[in-house]
Amino acid sequence: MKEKATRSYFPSRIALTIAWVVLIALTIGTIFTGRVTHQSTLGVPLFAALLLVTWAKAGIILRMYLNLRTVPAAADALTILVGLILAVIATLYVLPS
Amino acid sequence: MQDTENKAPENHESGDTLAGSWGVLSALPGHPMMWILIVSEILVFGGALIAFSGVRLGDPDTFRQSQDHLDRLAGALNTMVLLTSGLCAALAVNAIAAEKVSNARRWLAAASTLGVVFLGVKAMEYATKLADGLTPTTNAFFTLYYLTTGFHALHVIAGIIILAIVSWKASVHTIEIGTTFWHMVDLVWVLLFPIVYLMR
Repeated sequence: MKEKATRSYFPSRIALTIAWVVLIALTIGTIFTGRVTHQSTLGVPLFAALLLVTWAKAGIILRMYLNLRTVPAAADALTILVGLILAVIATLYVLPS
Repeated sequence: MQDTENKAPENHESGDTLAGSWGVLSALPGHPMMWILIVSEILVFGGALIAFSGVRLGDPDTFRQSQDHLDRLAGALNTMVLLTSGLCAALAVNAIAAEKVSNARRWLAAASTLGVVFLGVKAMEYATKLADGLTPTTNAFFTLYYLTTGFHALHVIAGIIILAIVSWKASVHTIEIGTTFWHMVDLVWVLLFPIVYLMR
């Protein structure tokens, strides 16, 4: 019973692998939204999409890799903190230079 | 039953004689001190990235032209390398929880190796930039580029050392704490890459 309790506290191999697949897929999304092979500017819609993808990736790392799914309040708090940082950066991006 | 299955392993907190004095932080995975470090690091790097965005506002053309010298695709591939190393680290925790110490050590070695690959790509990137005369004093973009990515690279080096130590002193408690640091390094890069390499 102890072993079962210990193992179920951590995400299963399958859950971790799914999280990794989603993270890699989102990174491929970053390659497209960030237009990594182009030198043109992104513009507000693409940059907003880029930040949303980044926020989603951070949420997955916090909940699955860092196992904060066991403490949902902490996961939410840190996800909001990261979201606030990205929101400030987004605001600075749209401000006129 | 749900509560039993979601509870922390018995040695989750026992490695810390002050475990009971952390209040609500005691519920966090690993060691509460590591979470204080993680929040601090998110704030430090978050502040640096906000500063980067603020300075960019003053001279967006220089930032865009300077950023075009970066290898964005290599940065994206390096993101995948670090995310995969994070999976290996998480699987090491999974293995040690199942009392498979050798497997846990192998996963930690894989995570560290991918960390070295990340550093190798970063070193090549730095070498190319420096050979082109793009140094930390070239302009504000490159000052902040070297500062943020260099500070992150130092964390990767520290993470590799920590993974080696917890692999040597392997237990659920030590490996969980060590990999928590590693995932923090992962998280910071995920935030850093789109801002420094892609925001234009």
